[in-house]
Amino acid sequence: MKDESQVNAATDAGGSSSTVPTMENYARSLAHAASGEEMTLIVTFFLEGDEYAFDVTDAFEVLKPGRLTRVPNTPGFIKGIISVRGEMVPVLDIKRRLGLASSSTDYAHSRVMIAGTEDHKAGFLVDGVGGVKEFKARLFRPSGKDGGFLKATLRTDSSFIKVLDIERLLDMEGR
Amino acid sequence: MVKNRDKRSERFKEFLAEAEDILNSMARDLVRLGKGVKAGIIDPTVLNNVFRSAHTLKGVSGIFEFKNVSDLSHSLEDTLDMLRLGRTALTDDVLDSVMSAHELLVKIVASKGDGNFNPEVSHLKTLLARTLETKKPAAKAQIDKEILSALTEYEGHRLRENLKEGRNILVVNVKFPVTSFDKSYEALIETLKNDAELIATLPSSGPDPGTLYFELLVGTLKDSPHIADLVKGFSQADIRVLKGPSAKAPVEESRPLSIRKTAIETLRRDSSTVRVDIEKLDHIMNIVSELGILTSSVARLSAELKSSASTSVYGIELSRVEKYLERKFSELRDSVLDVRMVPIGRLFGRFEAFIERLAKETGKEIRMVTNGDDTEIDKLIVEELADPLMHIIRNVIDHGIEAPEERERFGKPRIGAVTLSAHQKGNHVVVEVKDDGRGMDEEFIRRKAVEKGIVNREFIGRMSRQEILDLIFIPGFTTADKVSVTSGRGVGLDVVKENITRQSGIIDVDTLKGRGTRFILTIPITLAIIPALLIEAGRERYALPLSSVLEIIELDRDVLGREEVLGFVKLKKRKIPCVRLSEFFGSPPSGSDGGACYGVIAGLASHRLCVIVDSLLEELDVVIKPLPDMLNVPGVAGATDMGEKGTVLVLDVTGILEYLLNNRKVFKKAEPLSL
Repeated sequence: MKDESQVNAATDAGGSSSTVPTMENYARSLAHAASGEEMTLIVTFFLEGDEYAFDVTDAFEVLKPGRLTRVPNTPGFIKGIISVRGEMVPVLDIKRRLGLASSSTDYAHSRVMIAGTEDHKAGFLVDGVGGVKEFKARLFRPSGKDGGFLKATLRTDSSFIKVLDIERLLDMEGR
Repeated sequence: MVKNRDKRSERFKEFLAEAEDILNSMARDLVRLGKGVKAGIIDPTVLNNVFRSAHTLKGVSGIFEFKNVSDLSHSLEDTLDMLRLGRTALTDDVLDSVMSAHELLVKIVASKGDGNFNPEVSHLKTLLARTLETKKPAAKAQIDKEILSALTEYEGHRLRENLKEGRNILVVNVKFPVTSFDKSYEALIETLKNDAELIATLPSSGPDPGTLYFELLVGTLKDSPHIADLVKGFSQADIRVLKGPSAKAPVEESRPLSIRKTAIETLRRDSSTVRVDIEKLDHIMNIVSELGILTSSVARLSAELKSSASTSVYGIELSRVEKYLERKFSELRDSVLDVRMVPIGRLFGRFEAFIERLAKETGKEIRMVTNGDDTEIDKLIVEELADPLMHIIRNVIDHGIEAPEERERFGKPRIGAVTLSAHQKGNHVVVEVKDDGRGMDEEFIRRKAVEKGIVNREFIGRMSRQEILDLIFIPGFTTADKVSVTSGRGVGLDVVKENITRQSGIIDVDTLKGRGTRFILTIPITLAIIPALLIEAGRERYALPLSSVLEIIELDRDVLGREEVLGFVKLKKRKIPCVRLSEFFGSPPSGSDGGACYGVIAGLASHRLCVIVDSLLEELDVVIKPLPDMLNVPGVAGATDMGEKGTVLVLDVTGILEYLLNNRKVFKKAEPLSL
């Protein structure tokens, strides 16, 4: 059976789907908006083979890691800084932040995802980017107060996506 | 995008800035007025300026419903109005109330509308209202009613004052062609100013529609032919003597106030300046620095094109364009930097009233002298300098300058002098606070330092004079035996040092017992774009701001020894502790064995540190970008984006020294001798 929950049919090699700005997708999106069903946009990425996501409103852009500048005497999960058009943004090792073992040494697909708020943003080192995806809002299962860095989970026939809480990730007091 | 609330708060910020300006200029005028009262000569222009300031402040604060400011400035305006109209005599008491009102206004404005700061203004209002009651009788008018009726109350008052002085009152009929009227008029007034007071300018009429006719009502000690001579150069003059020279009228009130020349009143603001939020300038600065990066990319492209035979023609063309772009770019950068610059005299001016007040509080007689007021410095740095300078001046007045009697005993002039001076020295401005007071007693500092356990007894005997003097900048060192009213706020010179260090500045002190003390602050002119040296240490590259470096010396790696983490180097017979930058930053040690390496000498007060780096790469201008809060680590001032060359950290060598001073054993305060 075709996965009804996912709006977009454009499928890439990785098996996940993304919102490509085509006229077709635009029309489909309009149709859904008209149907009254509330939709949520997320941007997904991969860590150790699992799919994670931020709310699309929390993410700014995705950059190639390029040359990171190490900052001495900082906690281990801070990889360094990257200049985003002159603004110095810290780059965090999100796996260490989440307590995941890091096995991947393949940096060919790794990216820095810039996310946060305008005044308080950081880059997150991820293994690869899935893309922007749209799901019906009711499919997300909030993880509640004890969720740690997890804001919600989303299970579909083809995938299991963990949506992360950017505010908690950036809250250094609780480290 | 901007919410209404933000807009309002932005306008409120503008208002605060304007109020601050008004109060600043009022402070200057009040000091002049105060001096005038002492000398018995009151300049009506100054009095009128103070009145206008109060009036403007009342207006702008009213718009923002800043109630206590508008209330108080209203009362102030009333009093000043009576003063300038001569209805109330300007006595010491009245001046005191006016000054207290000004001071309170400064405080209220400084609280930035913070709801928790709600001082009682009614007391001062009553005080000001009382001044309105002490009327003084008006001099009898001896001029025909027709002219008097054309004058405003202020002009009438000035006319009477001139009569009282026994001056000639002349009516000068002048005419100017419409086309050149404003310039000729101003020039004429400027010329007249030296010999006469212009009481009023009354429009008149004449036969020629292309000509403007005026009657100038003038009070002068000169005779009418002399005035006619002055006027001739500008206009046909026809002078009528309204009131000839007379014996000086008897002085009526107890306090004689004579009046000197005055200027023309105008509603036009004389400055054509624009007030800009420094954040906006910072934004422009950011864009400029990005442009710099783009420019260097273009340079690289043109070099690449030139090197290939097939495209070298384009490469040469492009490099020509690139050279021009580069030139225009540095012009742009310099102009943006220039906009941020303000003369330091404006800062000095703020201290005049402050010194006067402190002198009064401490019962001392002090005059302020300034030098090099025109020296320009970054607006942001000026603001950061205000507090340290204030603490130093407090200190000087409190501990340095002696009481008048004591000064006389030592054969010094009764009035002590505090001299603020500034001059430019390369990329730095040297600001000096000098007094002619009692100076510091080296022995006293030694004793105090041992007493407080800052230095132990064995070391103190071996410390040099400069090292002893520098003890005053160490936290916890206060030489005053009693906490005084003036500087007893727990603010010591250590805080001053810290503030100056934060500006990448250096503070030094020099003193001569019985003769006075000099505090010398050396501060970079701007922090926006700074010259830096690209260096390498432990296989990482860093930008080293030249402003924070005292000296760079070449070292022999073999002599230093590889194991030694923290040793000493000898520089001008002084042993200076040193630290490897790679060691401090925990980066891998450099691969090269032997050969030369370099020592960067940093200074903090009298402390010196030699930071060892592997190599010096190139000199370049950098724009320091702050690092996010979570990355605030000692030794790093920020980072700079060098485009093609990547992003590098900007070092804060003074910060390394400071960190080591606070944390490493070898720097522990018990052993400053080891420095």
